[in-house]
Amino acid sequence: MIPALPDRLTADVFAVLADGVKKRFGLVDALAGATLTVPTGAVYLLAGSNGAGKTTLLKTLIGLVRPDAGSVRVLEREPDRDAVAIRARTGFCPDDVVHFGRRLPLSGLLAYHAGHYPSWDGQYAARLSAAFGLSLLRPCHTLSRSEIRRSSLVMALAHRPPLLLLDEPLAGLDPLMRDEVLGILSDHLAQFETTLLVAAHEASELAPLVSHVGVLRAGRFLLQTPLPELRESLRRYQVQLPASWSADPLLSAQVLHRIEAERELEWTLWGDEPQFIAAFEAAGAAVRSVSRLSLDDSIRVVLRGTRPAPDA
Amino acid sequence: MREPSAGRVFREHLSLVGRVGGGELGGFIAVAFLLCITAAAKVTATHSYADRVLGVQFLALVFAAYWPVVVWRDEPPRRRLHLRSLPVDPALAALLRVAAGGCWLVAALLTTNLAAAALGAAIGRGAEFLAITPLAWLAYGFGVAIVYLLASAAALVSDNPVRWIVLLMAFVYAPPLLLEVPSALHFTFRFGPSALYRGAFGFDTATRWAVTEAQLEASLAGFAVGRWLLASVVWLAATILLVVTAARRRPDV
Repeated sequence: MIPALPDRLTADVFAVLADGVKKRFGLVDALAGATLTVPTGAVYLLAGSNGAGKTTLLKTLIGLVRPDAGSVRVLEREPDRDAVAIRARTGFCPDDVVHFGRRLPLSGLLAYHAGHYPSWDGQYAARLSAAFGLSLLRPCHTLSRSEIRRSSLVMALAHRPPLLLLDEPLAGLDPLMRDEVLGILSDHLAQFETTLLVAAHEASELAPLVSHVGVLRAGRFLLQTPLPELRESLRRYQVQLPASWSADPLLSAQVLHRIEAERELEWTLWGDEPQFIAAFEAAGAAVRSVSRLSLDDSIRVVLRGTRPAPDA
Repeated sequence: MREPSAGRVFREHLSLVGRVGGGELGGFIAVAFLLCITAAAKVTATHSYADRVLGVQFLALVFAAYWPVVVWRDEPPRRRLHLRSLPVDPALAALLRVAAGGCWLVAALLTTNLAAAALGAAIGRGAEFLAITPLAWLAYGFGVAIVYLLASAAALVSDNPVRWIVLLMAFVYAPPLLLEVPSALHFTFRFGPSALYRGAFGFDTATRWAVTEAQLEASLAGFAVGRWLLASVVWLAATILLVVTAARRRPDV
């Protein structure tokens, strides 16, 4: 039996709504019926292992990738019809960062980018560039991957869009710069009404900002939930077992992750804590401790512990 | 939040291409001017200064074939992520970039020809240069435009446009050599690709150049100027269509 994890979110007002999105590249299913809801104003962490489909999903939202099936609405528009309008209202920081222009100084590339956004705030861009430690006179072809990523963040933020799509914004940055980026993102979210959808592996670092979490595997969501619900519902139980003990099959089926020794077990379960404790005690086991999981551990457990649900 | 106007986007592309390709444009103008100096030194009774200067068109054709590589450098189709993520229709953005590149190419050609005219005036041959007929200028423009647009189409769709451009140049310059081969190959070629190259609507016919109308007529080997003009227009229209089709291609990035 598969643990009953919530794999859909409901929201009255949403910035992003994708339903049953499928995308195949050759023989590979990048998205296999992904259903995503990002409430307006949320900071949504899109987690998942490499190749889970995070980047493809983000690109689908702004019309860079055309889905084979399913529907997508972003800021009340469909990328199929209104990709340009969506992109005008979206700040996108891609993972596969590519700059061009060789001899062009970074300031030139930023100016070219700014020219496409009537709401570009030059002063804000200059402040962000300074905070990110960017040298605007450096030719683009001499920039490191980290500098390219930081300049992509400036491009995404400086026109103050209502929706930010950031794909691995912290990858390749040193710890100090990660702190700087997180601080700037935090300030940005406080200053401007923004919905942020961020695909990242650094869940714990982003945790202070995050309001919702989605875990994607093999192109399908295993879990989508508000962060407080994740913290409340996912618990690790350390249990002392009696001499002869057989687990309640219903309880056993709920286990997301298990470590078992002769007279002890450590199970990670999703659900109501008092109910689980009662079930253990009814079976003659003694619950020694119940602990919360870090966001990183939660994601890891969900990715390891669940199988994708069968097609409806 | 509004989308940018097409005019604004064009200005951005114009500025970008100028900054990215300034070195190559400057190099072309410098080499072309050096060739003009060489041409000025070789003026004879049978070959006028203007005739020799327009002979530099070969260099213009080579540069027109290479220039799209510069315009699209570091942005092959599958890495055109930045362009595609901007709030502009990607096909329109690509066409505006091609147009911006075309504007810079025209500016470079104007600069070289003005410099050539100034040099002609300096050696007392200014009037000769000014006597070049509008039709001859048109022929010059058609040749460069057709080659630039063909190479742009290659750069729009191929990760390795140089390969296609080399093929294009081979298409331009290999036929005259092959037509000299007195063999079955010659026979095959004459009734095959040759028609595309030297027929009434052939590429060579469309990109023909000359200083005077009489030269143009003579070089067309029996085709009337009107047919040459028609061939040029047909080729230009075909290459524009090719570029538009290439720009509308949208591979997933």
